[in-house]
Amino acid sequence: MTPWGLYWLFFKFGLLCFGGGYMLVPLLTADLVERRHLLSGQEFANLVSIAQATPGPIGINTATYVGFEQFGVIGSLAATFGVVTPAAVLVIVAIKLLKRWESSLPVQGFLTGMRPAAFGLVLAAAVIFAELSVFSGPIPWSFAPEAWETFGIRPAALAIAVATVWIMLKSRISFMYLLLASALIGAFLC
Amino acid sequence: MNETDAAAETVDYRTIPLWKRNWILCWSFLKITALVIGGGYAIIAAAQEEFVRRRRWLSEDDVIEMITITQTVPGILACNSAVYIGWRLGGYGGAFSALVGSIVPSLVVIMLIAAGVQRIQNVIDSAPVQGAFKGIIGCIVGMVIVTAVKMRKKAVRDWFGWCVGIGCLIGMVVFGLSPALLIVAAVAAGLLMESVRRVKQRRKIQ
Repeated sequence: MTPWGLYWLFFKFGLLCFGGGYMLVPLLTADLVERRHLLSGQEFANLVSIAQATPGPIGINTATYVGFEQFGVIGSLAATFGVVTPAAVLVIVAIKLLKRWESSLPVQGFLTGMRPAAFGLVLAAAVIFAELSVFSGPIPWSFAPEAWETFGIRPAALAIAVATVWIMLKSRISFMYLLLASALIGAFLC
Repeated sequence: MNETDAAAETVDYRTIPLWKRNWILCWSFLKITALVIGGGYAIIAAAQEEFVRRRRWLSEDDVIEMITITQTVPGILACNSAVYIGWRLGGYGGAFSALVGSIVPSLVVIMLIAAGVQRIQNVIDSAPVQGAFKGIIGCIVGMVIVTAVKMRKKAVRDWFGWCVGIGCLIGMVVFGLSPALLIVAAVAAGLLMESVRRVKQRRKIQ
């Protein structure tokens, strides 16, 4: 494989990953681990945990890492630009199409369904992030009391979340300060 | 003037020279991706906070459009939203600036880790850094909730909206369904709903 081949490979992944960077994980497992044997299963598991625990989009972190393993800095650049190229083109095309056929049935129907879906998915993201910080783990969706025994709340993280909502609704302070303050509080208390 | 009225007003970003706008786009996305952990929605929430709440260059309607587009088009959510905001505010150059800003921090950090700088990995695994990450994610929970609250009025207008919204929430959180599947279902329901509405309207006119 050449860096150019790597670019094309990640270009295809970029086209196939519907629903965000998380969807890259099953795609990459099937292709890079099981078909091409570029990475071992263990290496890939390590990579995913690094990608999740470091700042930045998870999909970009994964692409950068896989690319670097193959060709160093050039590989990182090839994989990363490959994965974002289709998206960059398609987003701009989508903006133009929506504008052009604004009042048509397909666009109106699409928006009727997508607007509330977007709201639901954002709420779901809040719950998933809460399970990583405010709660001690995933919420056990069960009526059995045993399931709830290991479930707990981290008070410091809960306080940070509540304070963030309150400050954001009341002032125009930059989120940078909120994030830095949260990191500092978290380092000592979480 | 109360809080919501003030937030509804947007500032005309066209009065700011293009090169400066593109620079702000690049720098803002650089800051956001360097600090925000959790990927897609966390970065969308931080971006709405920067460009809607603080700078008021975009409105809440734009955020809804951004999320619907970034969700429907394949690709990494964070980068899709960078392209959306960049394109809206600065055309092709803006899209490119925002996109570059959104990938550079990952490139640098992950390359250092991949290059075998074991010390960086050890620092990331240490208790205070993991605690700091938890704190950051706690803050992001708040940000994402604020984003949801702000888009609610325009995203959910009737009983149909509530059904789809709550359906997606439960489908993803409780049943662990993939967002792509939920989106296909929501769009299908939306098309059906809109067709029914149009047929009814036509009958009324006749």
